[in-house]
Amino acid sequence: MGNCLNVVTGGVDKSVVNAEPEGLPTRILDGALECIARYGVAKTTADDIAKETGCSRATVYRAYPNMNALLYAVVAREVRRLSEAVRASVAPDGTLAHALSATVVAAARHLEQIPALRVVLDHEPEAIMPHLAFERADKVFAYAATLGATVFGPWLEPIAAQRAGELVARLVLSHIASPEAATLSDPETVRMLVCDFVVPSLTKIPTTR
Amino acid sequence: MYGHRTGDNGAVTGPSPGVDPLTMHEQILAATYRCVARFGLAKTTIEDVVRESGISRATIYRHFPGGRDEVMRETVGWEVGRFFVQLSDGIRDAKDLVELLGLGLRQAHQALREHALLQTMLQTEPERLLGLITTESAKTVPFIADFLHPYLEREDAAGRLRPGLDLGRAADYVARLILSYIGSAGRWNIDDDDELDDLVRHELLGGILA
Repeated sequence: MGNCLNVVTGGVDKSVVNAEPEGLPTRILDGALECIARYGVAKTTADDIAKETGCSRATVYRAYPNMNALLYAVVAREVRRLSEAVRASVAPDGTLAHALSATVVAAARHLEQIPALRVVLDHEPEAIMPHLAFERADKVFAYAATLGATVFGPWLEPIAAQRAGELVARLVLSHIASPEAATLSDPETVRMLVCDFVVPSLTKIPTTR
Repeated sequence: MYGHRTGDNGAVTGPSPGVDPLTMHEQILAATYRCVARFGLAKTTIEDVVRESGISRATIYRHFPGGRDEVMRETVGWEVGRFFVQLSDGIRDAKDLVELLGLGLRQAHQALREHALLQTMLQTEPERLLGLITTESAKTVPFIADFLHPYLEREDAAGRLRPGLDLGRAADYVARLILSYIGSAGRWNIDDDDELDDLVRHELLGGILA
């Protein structure tokens, strides 16, 4: 089951991410998140999810042939929702600082309001942290860089926009991994962080590389 | 305070008089580390640690009331701590902040590559190890920030930092990012001098240097 979260790290499967699951599959994913928040990743079974969703175990398996596929779909949906929240947070007529602050706050808040994530981070870090560590994290940052290119494109050269995406991801990850996690959901804290440290680092980079 | 297994008889199985409890604590962690190197994280038991350390089960539980899980977590945390202490010792003579961070990043990446047990365990039990290592590493942010603080003060006194900079917040910011880049370089090539210089001067210190 450990590798189920590879969606974040194994490159995002476009077919999974872009497909908006309708009806039952959506409810199954909701049920799975509920169960993970209650029992953790390792202890959640297809039976639990079926009970939570109000369908049979066979139905769960018809939609998702195994637990790995199901968990992959859960994470893929959360990654997609996070990306959407980040994109939606940016006002095109604002400044770069506004855009950066908005994305940091949106990402931090979005992640905070997934109860299953907090539970896993606190009690079962081995289910998620391996995917955010060492070279596997590189893929998360590559994804964030791609997202950054679109989100910050209006304000920055492509290279700087990608760097901005990676930098935002690093800051958000750092804060969710360490105990004082809540700070990045506070807009004023984030505004100061962005104005003092992030904007200058992006505007000073050489444009030649 | 004491573990649940000792009760009122704690003194019977407790450390002998004159033995520094910190040392005992560290002895247990060092023995656990050797056991983990031999058997892996999943298979190491408290009994293994008892045999390896010569310290009684009751004493181990008094030092680590959470039992096996706590011993394992603390052992990983202890090795993570040692890693950062060694790293900071290796770079503390750097001539300025830019050199300090560049050396730190490069030496950290080299040390991780050369850490035999880490590399073995990344192959044999990555999930178990990484769950522990990432949470324990996150706890090193204040250590790194404290280490950086005097260097920031020195640069500030030399007039090389942005006027009005809050050194405490700057130290925290750089500590978080440097830890992030030590863990994974992302799209950066730390072994390339120009990229490393760009990373340190702009990405890490863009808002900090004058």
